[in-house]
Amino acid sequence: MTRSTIHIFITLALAAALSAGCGADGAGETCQPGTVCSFDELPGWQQAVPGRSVRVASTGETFWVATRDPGSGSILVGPAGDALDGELKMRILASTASEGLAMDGSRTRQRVAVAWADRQGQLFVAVGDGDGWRRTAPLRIRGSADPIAATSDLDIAIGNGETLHVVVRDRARDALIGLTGIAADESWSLRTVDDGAPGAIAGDCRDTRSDLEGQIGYNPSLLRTSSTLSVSYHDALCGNLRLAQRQAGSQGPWTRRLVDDGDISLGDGFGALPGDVGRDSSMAQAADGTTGIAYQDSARGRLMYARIESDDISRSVVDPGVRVGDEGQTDKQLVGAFPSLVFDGESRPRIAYFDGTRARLKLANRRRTGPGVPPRTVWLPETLSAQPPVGFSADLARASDGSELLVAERLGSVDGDTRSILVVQDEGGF
Amino acid sequence: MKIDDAPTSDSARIDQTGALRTAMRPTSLSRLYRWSEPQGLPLDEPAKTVYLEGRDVSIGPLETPFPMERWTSSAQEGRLELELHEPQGNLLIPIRVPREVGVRICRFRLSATNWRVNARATQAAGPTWDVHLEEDPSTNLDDPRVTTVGECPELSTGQAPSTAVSDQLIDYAEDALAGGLEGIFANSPVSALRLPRGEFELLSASPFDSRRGRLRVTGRPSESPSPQIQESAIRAALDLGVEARRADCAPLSTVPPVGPSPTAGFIAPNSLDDSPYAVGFALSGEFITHLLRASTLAGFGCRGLEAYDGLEAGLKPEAAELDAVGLADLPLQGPLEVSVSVGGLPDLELESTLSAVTMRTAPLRVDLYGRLRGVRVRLLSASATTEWRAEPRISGPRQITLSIVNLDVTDPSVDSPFDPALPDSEELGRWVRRLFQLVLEDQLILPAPLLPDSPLRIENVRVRPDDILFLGRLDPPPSSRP
Repeated sequence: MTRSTIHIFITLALAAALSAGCGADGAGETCQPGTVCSFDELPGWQQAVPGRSVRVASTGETFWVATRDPGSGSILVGPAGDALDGELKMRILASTASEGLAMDGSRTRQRVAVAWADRQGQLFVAVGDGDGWRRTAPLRIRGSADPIAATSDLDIAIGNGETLHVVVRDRARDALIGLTGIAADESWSLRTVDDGAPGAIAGDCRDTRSDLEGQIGYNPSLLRTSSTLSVSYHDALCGNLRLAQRQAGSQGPWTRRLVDDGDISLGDGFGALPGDVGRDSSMAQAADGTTGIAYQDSARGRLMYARIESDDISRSVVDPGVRVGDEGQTDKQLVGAFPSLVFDGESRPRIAYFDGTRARLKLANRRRTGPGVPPRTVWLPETLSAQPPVGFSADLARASDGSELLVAERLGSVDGDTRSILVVQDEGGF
Repeated sequence: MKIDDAPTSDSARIDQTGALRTAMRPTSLSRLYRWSEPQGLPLDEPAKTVYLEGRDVSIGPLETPFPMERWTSSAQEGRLELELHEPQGNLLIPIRVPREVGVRICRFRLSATNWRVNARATQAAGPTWDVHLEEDPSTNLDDPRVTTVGECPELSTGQAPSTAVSDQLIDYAEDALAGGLEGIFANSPVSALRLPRGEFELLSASPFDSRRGRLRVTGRPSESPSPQIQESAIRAALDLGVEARRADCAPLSTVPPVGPSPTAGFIAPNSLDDSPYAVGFALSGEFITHLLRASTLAGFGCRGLEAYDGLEAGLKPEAAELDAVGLADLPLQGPLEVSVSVGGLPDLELESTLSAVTMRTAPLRVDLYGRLRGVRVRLLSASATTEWRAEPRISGPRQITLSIVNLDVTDPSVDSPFDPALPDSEELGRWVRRLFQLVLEDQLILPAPLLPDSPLRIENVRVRPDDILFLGRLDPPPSSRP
């Protein structure tokens, strides 16, 4: 493919679409929970598609894009193939969503699932396939009267059969919780992933501090493989990146481990500075079984990659965020926000991310540099061609045919105002 | 900062001899020593075996501070005198008495009025700040009385020990007092001021690897001029050197050699007379420039973006007047953050007539970051060659801040990925100048050449033709009494 970046332009303002088809509550009025709904396709738009909290997922050879209109709070979703032809046929799934938006696609089941929270902290899930979309009522916890107080920190993964898994940071419980259920039933089972209680991870900053609780589970990234359910997430108190895992088919507890404490050694007796890693993370699994996490080191403004082994975690710096300036000095660049990890056909990691200093999208590939066992490899970061400022909420997906699609938000000027615009870039632009 | 407060090594680099010159009022010396011994005169007298009441006994040891109410010091040509006085004190002294089985420890209380200990010292020869005692310190106790604490049948009947026991205890106490004062003089007067003698390594403690250069500062007692003890002042000078290990964020430059040793009289012989200040010290302008350049090379000029937890007090978007560059419409979250980098080594000029310094940097770049979608994004980069005049202002017990009184920018430019609507060049120059002033205000801090635990409090600073003069007083010593 030779096409590269496409700014999606579709006709008609969103407000017009809402009044025409979906009513004040948008999709809520036209689709009863648990039923399969059509969610009328919006007519063409003349303006750029709003692109906040953008997400992309593949279902085999089809890419799906989800985005949120920050003005109305509507969740828009549609197949991305049309986008590369210059148009995007979107449907509205909801109209009162908050910032968080998560999406997953299943190649084997040709399904795509979306999760979001509304402004009241209610959690919703919708599943789409060739026949239409099924959306839940606000999710409830089976056997509990306590409601979910969902934040925008959430992620979704498609499981076996009709099963869906959602992780969300629950404000009321001050914990990261895991929910499992099906779209046809709004009553889901709950298991706490991590409440930040002391002693869960030996040696971590909470280990001996009984006064440190909560403030955990930010920006989770959920991965469902054939055997394991894994979630990476941020511990805001310790500035750590944690990983929780459990057997996919079981009801067993989550086990937790530390991926990176981020602490910065100054060397030579100068002590250390506290770190701050994993505010954003992205987890994926390669065809050869390799599991990796891409994450940002916010304290050092760099992008990291962790390879997860059964007993070990190896970490590498993907992009240190440095650039040689005109005067020969090294300028610090803040890179690594919004990382999105996929593996290519040879199980090599590829990470899309945001360069905050230049407001550009970047992509890093890991390449072999020489023979040996294990082979010597190097990370090669490159800046993508998309016109800045672009790269917020960057999300990269790979289809079964090896094609890839990258979506992100651009802050662009529309009619003199700064607006969020959805940007879609295929591998021609990488 | 790592401190190696010891004689400098042979390989230590010295850039300028006599770069720092200090004068201290002799009467302040006692307060300085009292600062270094806040609990009192440190007694560290080993045990002494004597024959008493038909047996060998062991008096002591004593390892305790002895509170002294008044510490006085004075100087004459080449000679220092220090006297300590306690009007009413007592000292508990143990005596170990061997028994058929084991040892009995008896305790005696020595009470007296007018405990005095006095010593005179002269300047040692050579490049050192050490002083030598002319003779053993003299001690005096008026009306000493010894009483037994508890029971000690071997040496005492009831609470009254024998005269021989009392005399031995008084002798022992006087030796302890003399030893304590001798110990105080082991710490030279200038060392007690906590000037930077020895080798010090400073690191810019940045989370960013590229900013981690190092600065090694060396200070050694100077031979030229050599230390002097006079009635009006105790004077000493320090040779200083600074070595920078370049940080990657610093410009690719080398620090030019420092100018010749200053020849002007740094501190006039009577400059402290009729002034409220106890200590004055002058740091040569040549060396300040050298230090500034070395600090820049070591990465201390690369600043900002290091408070990743968002706790750093930032710049309010309104204060930055982003509307002037067409960026007021951005959906920013919270304050702006600033990153500063220097494209060249600065020049510094002392302007004594204005009591100011003028600094030139070429070019200086300020990056403005704002939080968008929860992450830090550079909104723009502004760069220009700058020349700014600043007045020194005391901003802490041991530091001054150079406050900008005038800032000029040339060749201003602004670059941004947000496609800003830039004004014409004249207006842009004004905007960049204003931004730089906001960012640089109160950022240039010159620490006084003192170690962090120095008791000196800077109260006055003057820019002179060849140096910056710091004048200060010693904080009142902490009380040794409960």
